[in-house]
Amino acid sequence: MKIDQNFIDKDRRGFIEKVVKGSIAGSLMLMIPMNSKLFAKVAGDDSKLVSLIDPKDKAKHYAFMVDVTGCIGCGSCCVADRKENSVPQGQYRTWVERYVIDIYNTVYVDSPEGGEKGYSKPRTDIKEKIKDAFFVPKLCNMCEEPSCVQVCPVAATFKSPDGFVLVDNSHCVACGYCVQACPYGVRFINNDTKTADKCTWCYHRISKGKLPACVNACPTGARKFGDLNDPKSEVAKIYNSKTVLKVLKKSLGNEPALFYVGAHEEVI
Amino acid sequence: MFYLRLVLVFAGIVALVLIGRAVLIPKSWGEYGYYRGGYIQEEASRDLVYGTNKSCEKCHEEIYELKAEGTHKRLSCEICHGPVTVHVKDGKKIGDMPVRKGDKQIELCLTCHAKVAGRPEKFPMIEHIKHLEELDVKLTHTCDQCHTVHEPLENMNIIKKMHELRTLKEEVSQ
Repeated sequence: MKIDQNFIDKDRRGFIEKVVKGSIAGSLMLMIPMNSKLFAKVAGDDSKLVSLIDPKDKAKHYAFMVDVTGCIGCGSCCVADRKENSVPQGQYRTWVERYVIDIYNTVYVDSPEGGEKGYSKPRTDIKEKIKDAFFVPKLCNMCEEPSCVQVCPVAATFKSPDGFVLVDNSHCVACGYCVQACPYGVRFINNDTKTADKCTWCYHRISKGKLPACVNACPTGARKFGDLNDPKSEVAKIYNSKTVLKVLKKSLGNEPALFYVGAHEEVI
Repeated sequence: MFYLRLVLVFAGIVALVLIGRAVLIPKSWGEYGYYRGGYIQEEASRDLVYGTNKSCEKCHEEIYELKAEGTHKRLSCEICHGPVTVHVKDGKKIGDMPVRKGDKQIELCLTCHAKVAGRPEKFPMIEHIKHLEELDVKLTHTCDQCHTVHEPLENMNIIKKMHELRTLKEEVSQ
């Protein structure tokens, strides 16, 4: 019995020793740095991009504007978006909502099939007289402080240095945190790729000097895209004019780069 | 001897971790921040599906010019006809573009021009049947029987001009 007790005591000492050594070794490993170029000034060309976009170019400040007063609810943007980005049926990177307000200020919102088929028929279920109605296109807000990036546990979604929130679907584990975190509901788990997906403002088109597919498709110019730092661009002209610009859910502090012109308070 | 063994074990662990990191962490990780920087390039180099109206100009110059000067000038060709990449590849035609006729055409025109609450008042909108009745034409008429689809007011403008000329001629002769 006594022998056994000694053996246990001795072993306990050894165990503690091992734990201490192990934790020292482990903490030493934390000191090996990540290879981040953000902290090391690397001279040389990073211009591997064939694109016009330089991800490190902070001189450009891209912004998207939606003119609610100009939208006719034809759904061309949604059709173009689906084909351009091969979005599965029943899922939407962008969609158009219809707001109808009756004389008692009741707000009715609908978006059948994301507005993709176009609103060519009026709503028949509203009995009261209609006071106002308008269409509101929705897409990624490209937040300055994106909630989705903050919650991603594997850093699959990130904000590129030029301000685009993108999803690296080879890293995404489809946990769906970002889908829950996005205050604008623009994220979804793509049924085809089984990873998180969202509107990218057609990053692949912009990088080749083209407008996003939805902007290109918009027949009334209700969707506008451009660089706020380029005084010649349409968005910069609107931004610098006295036009009232609104962002969705401003109080959340996400600081979207998507601005709405002529949006009613019901939308905000 | 004991310490040598400890050092060896420690060195082994460090080597394992370093090898593990080299294998598991993507090369471009941390290039711009705590994510795989190479993805930006991957996303940017994705192929386009839609082109622009300029993509159509080379072959369809006549229609392009008619449209560019008319009331449909802001319209993208690809809204009605579909993306250019199913039609042309490397400068060669690979497929037909849908051209909508009959009821499908009426449906397409009404996608934008049907009178629906919510559309801006300035925008030209019609109630389909009412429009046909007002103009006293058959209710089976398709839109393109009066309107050139690429410049809807082309015929109307010609008629207007002819009227002006006639009144001018009458005035002169009086």
